[in-house]
Amino acid sequence: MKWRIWRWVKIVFAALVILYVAAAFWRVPYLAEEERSAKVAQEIQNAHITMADVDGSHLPPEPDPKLVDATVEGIDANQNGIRDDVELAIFKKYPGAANLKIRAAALQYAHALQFYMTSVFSVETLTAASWQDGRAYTCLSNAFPNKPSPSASDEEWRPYDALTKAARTFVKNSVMNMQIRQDKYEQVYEKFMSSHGGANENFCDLP
Amino acid sequence: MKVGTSFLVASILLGAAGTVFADSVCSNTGYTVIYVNGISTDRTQADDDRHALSDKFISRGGDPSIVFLTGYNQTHAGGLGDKLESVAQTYLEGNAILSDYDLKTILINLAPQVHTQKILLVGHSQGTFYTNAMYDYLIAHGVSPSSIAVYNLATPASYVAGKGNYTTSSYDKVIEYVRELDAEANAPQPLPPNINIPLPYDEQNDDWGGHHFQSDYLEGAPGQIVMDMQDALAKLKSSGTDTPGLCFTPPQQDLAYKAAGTAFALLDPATHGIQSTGAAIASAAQTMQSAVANSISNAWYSVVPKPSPDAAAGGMPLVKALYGSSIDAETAMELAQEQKAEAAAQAQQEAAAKAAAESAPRVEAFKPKAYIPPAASQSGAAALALVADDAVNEATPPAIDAPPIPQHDLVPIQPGFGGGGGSSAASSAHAGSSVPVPVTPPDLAISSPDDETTYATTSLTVTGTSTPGASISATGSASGSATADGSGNWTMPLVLPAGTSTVSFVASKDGADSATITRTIGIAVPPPGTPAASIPACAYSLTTTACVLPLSSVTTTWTPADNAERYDIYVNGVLAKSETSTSTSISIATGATSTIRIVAVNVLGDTATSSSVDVVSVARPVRINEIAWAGTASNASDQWLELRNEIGYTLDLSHVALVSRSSAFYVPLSGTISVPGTLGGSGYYLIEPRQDATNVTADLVSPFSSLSASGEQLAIEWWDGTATTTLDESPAVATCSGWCAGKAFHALGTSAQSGVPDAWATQSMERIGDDGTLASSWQTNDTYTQISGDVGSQPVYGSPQHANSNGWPTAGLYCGDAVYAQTDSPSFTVPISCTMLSTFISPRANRYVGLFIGDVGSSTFVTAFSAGKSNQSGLALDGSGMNAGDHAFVAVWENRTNVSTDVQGFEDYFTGAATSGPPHSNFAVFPWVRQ
Repeated sequence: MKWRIWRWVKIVFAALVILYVAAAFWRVPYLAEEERSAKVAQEIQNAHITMADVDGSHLPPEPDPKLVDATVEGIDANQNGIRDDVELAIFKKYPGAANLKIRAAALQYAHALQFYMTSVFSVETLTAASWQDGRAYTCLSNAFPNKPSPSASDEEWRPYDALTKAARTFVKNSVMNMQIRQDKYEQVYEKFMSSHGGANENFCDLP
Repeated sequence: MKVGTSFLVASILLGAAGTVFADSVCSNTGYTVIYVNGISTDRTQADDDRHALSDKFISRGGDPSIVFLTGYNQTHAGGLGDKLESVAQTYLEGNAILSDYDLKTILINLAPQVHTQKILLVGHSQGTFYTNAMYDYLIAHGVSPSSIAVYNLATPASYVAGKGNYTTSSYDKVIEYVRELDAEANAPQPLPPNINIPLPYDEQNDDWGGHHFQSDYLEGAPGQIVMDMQDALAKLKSSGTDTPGLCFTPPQQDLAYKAAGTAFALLDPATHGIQSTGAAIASAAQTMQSAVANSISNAWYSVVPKPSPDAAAGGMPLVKALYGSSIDAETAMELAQEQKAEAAAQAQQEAAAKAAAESAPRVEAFKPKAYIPPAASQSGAAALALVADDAVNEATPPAIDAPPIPQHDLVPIQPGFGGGGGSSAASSAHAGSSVPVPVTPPDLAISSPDDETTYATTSLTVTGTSTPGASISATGSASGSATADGSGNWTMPLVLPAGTSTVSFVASKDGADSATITRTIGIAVPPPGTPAASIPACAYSLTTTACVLPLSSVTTTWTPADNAERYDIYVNGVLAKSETSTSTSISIATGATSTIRIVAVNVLGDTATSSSVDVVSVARPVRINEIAWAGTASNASDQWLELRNEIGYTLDLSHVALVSRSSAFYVPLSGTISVPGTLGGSGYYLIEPRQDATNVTADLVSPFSSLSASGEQLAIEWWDGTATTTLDESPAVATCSGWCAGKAFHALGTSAQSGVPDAWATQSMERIGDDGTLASSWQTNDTYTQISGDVGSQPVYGSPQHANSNGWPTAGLYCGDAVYAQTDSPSFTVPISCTMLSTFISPRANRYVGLFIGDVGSSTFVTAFSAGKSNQSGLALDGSGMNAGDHAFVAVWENRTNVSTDVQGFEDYFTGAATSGPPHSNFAVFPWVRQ
């Protein structure tokens, strides 16, 4: 009788051990994904455009019209994180030295929005992309000349706000120019949106 | 390997959880703003709203370091769950929060992201129920009531938690309709409107018109919103110290919470998929949506309290009114059937169906209330009179086919709403309301420039006319903005790039835009002219052959060049700075030659370079080298001074003067000082009050004011045409309480023979260090160096036009390159030539020099000789009769002419043959050792 009880104890214990090991194995892919998510989120946070992206010395060639909208990611021949057709459109819209600051901010915004297309696959990566989005949003809002003083009235601000809104719309529409891209943008938010945010201090990549 | 590592980590995590936030700190500085979105706000919009809020806040002067978080208020069941929840919330006492699951989710997600004690909750629409509930939760779970505030926008709630502020527009169709229905159901009323934000043009027919977070509130009254937020933030107070751990305790994820999460996980994707199928199958989708919602109703009600049957009955029309056709009576009834109480459910079905039927026309033809401006005697929110169309006759419902055009006036928001206005938001806003007027697009015309005009400059001023008050914006090759004045005139400066530019102009007013006007403008700028550079101070150069200046920065000027946008200033080929003016100050390296060029640059980047200008910067080109402030032995008024050239250029003293800081002494200099060591050049410059003050020829004779015997500070000043620069200075009088060196009529040595001083000297003050203001940079002439005579043929103990004295001691042995005192006992490698220095013996007395091997009192006499009256006697130490390590000494003594035994007496004394002491005490002994 005593040996029979001891045998059952051993069976139960062995079953628990097997369950524990199985559970641990079950979590392996999840943890590997967590590691990858943290790594990519960090890469998104550290990414920024450079003066070479803004001064025109790093411009990509005109992309092949057959391929430019063939994928969600699009073509980024110069590998600066900005889709080539969007980059060229921004240079055309804001040419020359007079528009350098606006162009830099618009490129930063396009660079930030492109993360939604290429790099978001988790809550962490969406949080990082959204943080870059917010920075670029504010950078573009501060890039135009004749910015009113902070204490100016809403009436005084209105023309300026209209300018910055138009610029944001232009860049966002350029990045989300196809239904597949709009869908992708909404999908990553649908899957991974959570409560998150951050400070927009130092909002421009190129001060 | 990676899998193995992950397995290990997984194993550990299975056994140990928690401690994740062990290192977290809740800071007593900084702020966190949590924005909670409203109902049916999709996820992308919720984040975009937060970006917009943060952006407006920063643009209008808010602290960019403040953290903005989205407290994402999820949409469930394709919005259906939220809608039911919103309805019920308005009916519950205190607008109690219903979806415990969503509230918990927000708080759980935010807990690790909130790192400041000071928190501002900003809610919009249905999100304001959550901000109110979050406030209650947070102050009960670790947040001090003094460090948290709520600010709500477009709130259907009847209060703001913590007595916070709010902004609700009188044009907000949704809130006004909620107000009406709440009144009918005797439910708590939403807070009264306190601002007028006119509807944008494209929201005239929008049932949600006036309620949108961005297009209505944030774009309509950003100044007011930012000001309210700043006010709320300014009132927050932290505990004064950081606290460890999270800023608040998040809710527990209990079984009910997890069950609800599972249910929503099943429901939400299903309903989302339904909503994405498009308008063509919208009707079918709604039916399916209802079925899905019903299928999970148990899970829903496990976390959401059921509204009372009465409330639901009153809520149905509100659902219809608020949210259009997304729910129908049938769905409402199906939901109601989930009620366990059969009788109550039946009553609810009937009431809901009846209410839905009654309110159907109101939904279909949603019509906002007309705003009646308050009478002049009324003020404040209480004076707002929002009167429903059917208020006149309660029994008359709104016409079904009535066009949903709002009947608000469309007067733009008054400046008082914004950050720059002076009057209060409420008073100015309400005062701005008037009779409705139709919106017409503003006019726009451009007076200048004409289309297809070419300019030679990139900076243009565009002028034109428009409707007074219209905002004119320019986009394209350049961007800008302007506002038409009261006469409709406007001007806009633009900077265009080279080549052909296209700029589009549009005027906006009251949400309506004018037709776009485009201008194509050519910019053709010729190359810049060549500037001519100069340094004005070079006219006052310290030498005639180059520009030598005692400056570390120089003002450079140049002639203006045609078509130059700017000037780049290069120093030694390196761009130092850029200027738009024709003058600048440039730093130059001391002790070196700097070559300066000016490059004119036009707007296209074309350049033209000036000829170079060289300038040499010197730190101390000349110094005060010697000051005979006591004059000479023959005449104390024969004061003389000596300067010395310190650089490799012949110094031109045309713009240099020697001055006193404390008296009228002022000697403008002239002539030059040669370079030391060059042919015919001593490098010295002697200034005397009369030419025969000494028998050395002066470089400048100037009957200057006498220097004070009690001390003065002298300086050499250089005039550059506009100001003076000090080239060198002697010590301030206070440094040494007088002159730091030099002597007036001083006893020179002693005489054993006479027993009293019998010779006198006036000694100069000589420079020995670089920094003339230090006492240690000066010495008294050692009297070994002198010139033959002054006006009375007396020796001059100084060195005019010559190197200063060596500073030797009154008694010393100078061997090789060093001077030894009596106590030094140096080791010499023999033979060595030496000089006995003996100014301690009066120049009127004779002296003898003797060499001995051994020590004083036990030595062997080697030799002795008379040195006469010379205080510098040469001798050779050859070491004869000595071995390495043997001691020896040299002695010098006054040899009295009236006592014949001094020589023998000293020999006996030094060898030890004498039975008594030395003949007298005016002697010195210098021991040495053979090496």
